[in-house]
Amino acid sequence: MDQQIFLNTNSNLQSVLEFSLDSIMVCDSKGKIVYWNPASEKLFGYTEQEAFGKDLTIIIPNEMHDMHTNGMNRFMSTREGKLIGNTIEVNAKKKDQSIFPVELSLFHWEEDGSIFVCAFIRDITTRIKSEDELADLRSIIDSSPSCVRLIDSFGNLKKVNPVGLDLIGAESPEQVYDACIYDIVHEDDRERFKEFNEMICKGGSGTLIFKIVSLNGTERIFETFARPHQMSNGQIGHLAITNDISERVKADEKLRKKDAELEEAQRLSVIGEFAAGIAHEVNNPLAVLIAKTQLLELQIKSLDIDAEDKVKELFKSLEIIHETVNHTADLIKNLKTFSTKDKFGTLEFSSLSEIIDVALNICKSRCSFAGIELKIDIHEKIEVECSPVSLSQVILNLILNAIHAIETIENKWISIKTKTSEKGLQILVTDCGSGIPDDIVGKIMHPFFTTKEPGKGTGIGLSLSRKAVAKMNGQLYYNTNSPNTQFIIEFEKYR
Amino acid sequence: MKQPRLLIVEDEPHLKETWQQMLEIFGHQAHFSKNGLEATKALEKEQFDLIVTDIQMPVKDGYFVLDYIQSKEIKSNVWVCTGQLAFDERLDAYSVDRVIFKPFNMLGLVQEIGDLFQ
Repeated sequence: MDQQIFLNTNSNLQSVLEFSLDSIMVCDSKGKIVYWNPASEKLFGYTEQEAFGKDLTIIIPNEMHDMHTNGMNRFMSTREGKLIGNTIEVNAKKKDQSIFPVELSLFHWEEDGSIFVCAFIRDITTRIKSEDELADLRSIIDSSPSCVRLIDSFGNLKKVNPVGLDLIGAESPEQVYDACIYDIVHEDDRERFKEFNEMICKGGSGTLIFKIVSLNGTERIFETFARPHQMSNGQIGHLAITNDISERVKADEKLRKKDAELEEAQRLSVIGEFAAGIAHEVNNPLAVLIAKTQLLELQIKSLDIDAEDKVKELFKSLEIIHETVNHTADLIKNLKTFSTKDKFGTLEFSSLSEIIDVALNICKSRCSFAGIELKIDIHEKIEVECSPVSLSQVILNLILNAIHAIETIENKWISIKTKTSEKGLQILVTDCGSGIPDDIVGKIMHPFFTTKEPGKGTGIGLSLSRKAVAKMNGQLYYNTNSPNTQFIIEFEKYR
Repeated sequence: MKQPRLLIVEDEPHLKETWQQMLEIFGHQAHFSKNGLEATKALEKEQFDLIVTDIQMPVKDGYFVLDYIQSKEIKSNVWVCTGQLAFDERLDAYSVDRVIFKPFNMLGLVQEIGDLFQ
């Protein structure tokens, strides 16, 4: 049957076929093209005359020719085929030999003992391309090293990639979709995050660093870059790329701390150098003072004085001079010690009440002069492993600070007592003050920080004291939980 | 009791005076030099049982005295008084009986001198 006969016998279909946007072709039982509509010409590049009578293989990629021929033969002999009656996606070939994807539907009929197969072919190049692009995009987002997420103006999570799920500690998207993300933002940052989200959903863009508490309870610090995004329902959502910067923040903090420690060490080493420089100048006069004091004691003893009380008083004064000079000498020695690692003196178990007495002897008169009541409650048998000179200096330093701090308070007192806990022995040095103001409490241990007037304090006392206690394997810290101003010196080793 | 012969090398006049007074109370006498050079001149002329020398001094310092003692193989007791804060490793090169850090307990030292030469 030639094409004319085929068309004549199917005349009522002709116009439908001619106007179809899909390529439609018919071939006979030998696989020869007997109908070729205008859309086929447009799609494949062969004119009707060129296609007519040609084998259907002109539109089939070479590597599929065998498959096609076998399939055709099988169908013609058995009337059973895999493709006939189905719609499949397959590659096709144009006149210029280029290959492109098509959607192919086949059906057949018999007429006057002949079999005809009709093919409907639709170019799906564009669809496949956009599908591929979408898949690419999807996989890029899924494998992005950052969390990519979309939330609506109420904070409900609409989309999130696997990294995002991992960061918030969720096991599946279902667990968190449409859940309010505000709930996992750390309460300190929640209001800020809400405001940020609302700003983005009104069309703004920006960056935010905030803390979250993930579903498995770990705290993380996130940095997020956000822009508005129109969602499929027309509302504006908050599209963001978020990174976990907890490690970076931790590392930064560590570095800052290290820098601060280094700076402190440098400052202390300057003090050490300074102390070494003036040591000779100071130690000579101190040597004179001590020796002269001893001489005075001897000379007074050799005098024939009846008034025993008066002599006692003289001796007491000399003793105080002696102790003060010793204290000054030790101070200079210790200044040097603080800046270098060695030559600190060995740690030994020493009587705490004796150590405190040494400190008190130096400041007792100052306390009574300032009207300060000293409340000392130390069990006389307690011994701590320490360097006794250093520890009494630390305690003296705390008392001197307290005397200065409570100057203007009525009913002044300073108390020293001990407390034992599983951590060890605590020496509590408390004064009647109501604590250190919040704005300076972080700085009190820093070298050269002082609240005293210029010339009255060096600002190195607490900083040196803390170092000294640390060298004795102890800890010196300010107790923020006490209603009064309280410093605690803690030693693990005591008896 | 045998009187020990003492050489005190000290540039600080008050300290020198105090040594003198303190030693006097315990019945001792000493030769005083105010620097290393004077000390070596005294050592040329006299023998001493104990030499107490400062380190940092004008003209010639304590190391000058120690060098002299070493080179002349002088067998006296040698005490070094230093105003420095830490032990100076240079002292390791000398045979020094005692290193005393200033400020020191002079009364104690004078009593020890008495005990040493009883």
